[in-house]
Amino acid sequence: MAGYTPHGLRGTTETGAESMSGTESSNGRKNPARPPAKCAAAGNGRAPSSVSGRTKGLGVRGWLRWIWRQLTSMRVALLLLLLLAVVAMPGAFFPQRRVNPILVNQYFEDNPALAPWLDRAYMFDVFSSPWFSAVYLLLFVSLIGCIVPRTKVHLEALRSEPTKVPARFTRFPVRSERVVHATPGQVSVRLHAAFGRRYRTKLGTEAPKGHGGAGQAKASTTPDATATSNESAIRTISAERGYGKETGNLVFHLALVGLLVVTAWGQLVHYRGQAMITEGSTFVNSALDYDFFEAGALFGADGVAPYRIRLDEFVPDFTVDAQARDFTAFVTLFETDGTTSEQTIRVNHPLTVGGSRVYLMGNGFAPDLTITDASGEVAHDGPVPFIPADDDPGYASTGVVMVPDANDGDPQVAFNGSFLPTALRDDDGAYLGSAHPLPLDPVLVLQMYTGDLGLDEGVPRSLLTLDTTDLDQVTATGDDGAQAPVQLELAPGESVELPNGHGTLTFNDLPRFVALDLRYDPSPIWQGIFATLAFGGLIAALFLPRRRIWVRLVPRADGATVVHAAALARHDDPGLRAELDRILTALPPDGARKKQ
Amino acid sequence: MIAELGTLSTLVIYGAIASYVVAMIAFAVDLSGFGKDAPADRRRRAAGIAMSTAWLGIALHVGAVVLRGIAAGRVPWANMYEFTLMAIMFTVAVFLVVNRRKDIRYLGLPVMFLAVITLLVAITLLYVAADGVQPALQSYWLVIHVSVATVATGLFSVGALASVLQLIRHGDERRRARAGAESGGGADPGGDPGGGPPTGDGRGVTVGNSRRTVAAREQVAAGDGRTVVAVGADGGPVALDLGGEEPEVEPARPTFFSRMLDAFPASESLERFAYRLNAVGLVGWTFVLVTGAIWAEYAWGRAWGWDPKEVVSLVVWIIYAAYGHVRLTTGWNKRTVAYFSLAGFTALMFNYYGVNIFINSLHSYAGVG
Ligand code: HEM
Repeated sequence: MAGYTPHGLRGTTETGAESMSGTESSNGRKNPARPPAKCAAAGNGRAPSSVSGRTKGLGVRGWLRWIWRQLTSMRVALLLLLLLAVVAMPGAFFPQRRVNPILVNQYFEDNPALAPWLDRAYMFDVFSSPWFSAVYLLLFVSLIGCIVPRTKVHLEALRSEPTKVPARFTRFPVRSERVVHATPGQVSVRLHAAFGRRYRTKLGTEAPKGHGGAGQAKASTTPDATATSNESAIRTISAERGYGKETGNLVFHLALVGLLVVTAWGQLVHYRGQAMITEGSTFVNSALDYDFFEAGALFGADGVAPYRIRLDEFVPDFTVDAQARDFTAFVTLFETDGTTSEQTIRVNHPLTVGGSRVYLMGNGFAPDLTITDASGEVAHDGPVPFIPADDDPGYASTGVVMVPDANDGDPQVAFNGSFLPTALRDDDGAYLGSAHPLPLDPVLVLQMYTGDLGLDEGVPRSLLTLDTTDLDQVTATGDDGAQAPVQLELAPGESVELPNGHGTLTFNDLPRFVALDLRYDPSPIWQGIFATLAFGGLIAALFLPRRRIWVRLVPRADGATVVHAAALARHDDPGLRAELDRILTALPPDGARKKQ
Repeated sequence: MIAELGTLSTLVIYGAIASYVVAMIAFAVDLSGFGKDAPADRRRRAAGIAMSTAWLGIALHVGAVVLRGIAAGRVPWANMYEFTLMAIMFTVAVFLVVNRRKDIRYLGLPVMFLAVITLLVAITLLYVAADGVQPALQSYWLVIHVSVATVATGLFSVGALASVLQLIRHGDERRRARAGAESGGGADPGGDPGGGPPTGDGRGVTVGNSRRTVAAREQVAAGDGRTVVAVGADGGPVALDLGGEEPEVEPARPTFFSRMLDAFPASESLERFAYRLNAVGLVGWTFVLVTGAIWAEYAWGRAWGWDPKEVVSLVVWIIYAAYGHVRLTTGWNKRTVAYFSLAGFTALMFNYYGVNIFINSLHSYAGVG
């Protein structure tokens, strides 16, 4: 801006017009005496006495005030803004616990020396780290400290009249001068009409003392061609448009604060749970029925409506080359008021119930197994979800079957292994993976363990991997006489004898399961409102023109009027000249232009 | 049939690349012939050829994108190859469309160069066959969110090119000013010959002799009071030098490079042009962030989850917002402003290539290894 906004700005301030670009105006770098660019509008700065006497006798209040001034200065705000970008970047380079804990564990395994140090520096929790919080909180304090006073100034400006006509126009690069054969009163009426409703205008008269002494004699808001004052008076018009630019700017910044506040509020009252349900089974929306549950600090358990969802069928759609095209979960919803309805949940199309939303996050197979123990008692009966590997289009899945009730707990039994919907075998019959996500040739491949599963210790157990440290793998004597781990292989409908008389394992059926994410968070609608406000405000702030036009109508002895006009815009405004010309075309065409 | 359309699309892209190459060469000829001695008609003939081939190029380019959409049976911006095609299409489009309003042919060479390089990278490294998309991408938010992202990328790209030229021009102006000072001329850096200040708001402003205008503005701004601006007969401002000694800039020895630089507008004008593009780009990017959050709310159950793509997109936005603050609210010099613009663009490119290829992100549209 420095190059464009004319030096005359300072001059206009002197003559009573506030600077068009606030204190951030024109030539900060050329005038070292001026304070660092401030965000607040001009005229708002209180006497900086306590600041200027920085070195001695400030006292606590003086210091606090100084710190506040620094914090709300544009320079510090900019620094904080850039700092926010800098401190956010590690969040893109390192896996984040809240986003993907599995990747974080992976990172620890891959970089055992480095990871703990990174962890100490919050590199895996960047967005809840103290320094990230500090930066954004300071930034928003700065923002509020900057925007609130500016809002006050703007509200006053909205109520006040356009600025006084500057004494001299020569400092403005965009100006015009012409002679019109009409009285100042007539010209004034024409121009007033040309400004139209977009401009706020103020008309005035000056004593005919020449251009320099602009004695304000009279002011009104409507032109009056049959002027009361004699025709020798100089008339002035001050017109201003584009208050919307600053309004937009303020709305934008305040909306950012609003966005932050409602997001924080949402965090406090939200809850979120994850559950896996198999086809045919029902899930109750209650903290107890979730595999994972998390809630904000202000969350009340009674806020959870105990509706139920039953998964009737899950229908995936895959292309021949194993690419997913569509997933649909057909569910029955039992609401708390007793109504029952059939619903679908699809990716991108969550189900909305009682202020919460249910999302379809994943799916897979849950082989339905019946296991009897050595005594012939049924120790396990039901589906067990096997989780598909992350990026495997063939849905090769891994899972764990725990049978704590086997043999009355002594020993307990567990299995781990994989489920392959379309098994791929090499020439020796060893399993390579799965060729397709549809169960074209399904096989369950399991290893068996016995021992104490350690479930009573209350340590959460992974569904994916079995901690085998305290368990014994079941082995059998192979063809070559050596002991080898037993591998069980079953297709649906098959049953196998477990080795060493441990009982039987039956693969009854192959239902599917879905992973549902349920979230209650009342903030998105408010976030939407504030984001929309911010967006609209930004457009207004960036693209609405903010213009001032001043006209001085000096009567000439021959009855003609010399029209002096000048225009000033905030920031560069390539349309300013055209705008001034447009206004002046309202004048009678016989007005010959006069170059200065 | 469908697969053939996909292949056809690729062939048409090769056609577009060829056109852009021709345009690039013609633009280069145009620029290099711009010296003081080249006859005006000859040097602009090359520019004319360049513009026609550039239009031909974008026609083929649009055709290829449409074919691709038909072949895939969806909007053609769902993987990295397609996104690249779109973004560079909008880059060229921004150039061509703005050029209808004001002469920015001097940007033709860098824009065409960028287009050719990017399309070659897309074809050779990012290509995937046209196909349907995974469930998470089946949403009309894909249409809105990603297409605006490509438009914004196009705007930021041209903006960044203008910033680069601005910096080069700055250096050149300083050198000339120094040379001028040595030869006793006291050259005004703003007074270098060059194109007019932008009139890109479409309000039909005609600005008169631009060289003089810029000089005059600088002088008014510097408050030296020697120069007064009046309205020219064409409605544009005309500088009347009261001092009577318009400093004539005489570069010591016109080199090939310095002659080429003469084709570019003054740095100040380039800076303003870059700002206007970046400002529109910033609005577009804001829209991208907001629509992305809405889509994420539907698809992933949270509006904002600090996925790497989201993080870097926010960083891009912050940098461009800071750029705006620097430009509008501080008096920092215009070189600094240009560096902010380039920093934003660097982050944008990292967000695109870096995050998609090297970082594990939910934004899996990359479709590359
Ligand atoms: C959350 C941090 C902030 C963001 C994202 C932000 C963003 C923006 C954006 C996008 C604009 C429009 C101009 C542009 O940059 O292209 C703007 C203008 C402005 N901002 Fe901020 N801002 C932030 C914080 C602040 C703070 C802390 C201050 C005050 C210290 C401030 C003062 C201003 C002023 C005065 C303008 C008006 C420029 C003008 O039109 O004159 N902003 N801001």
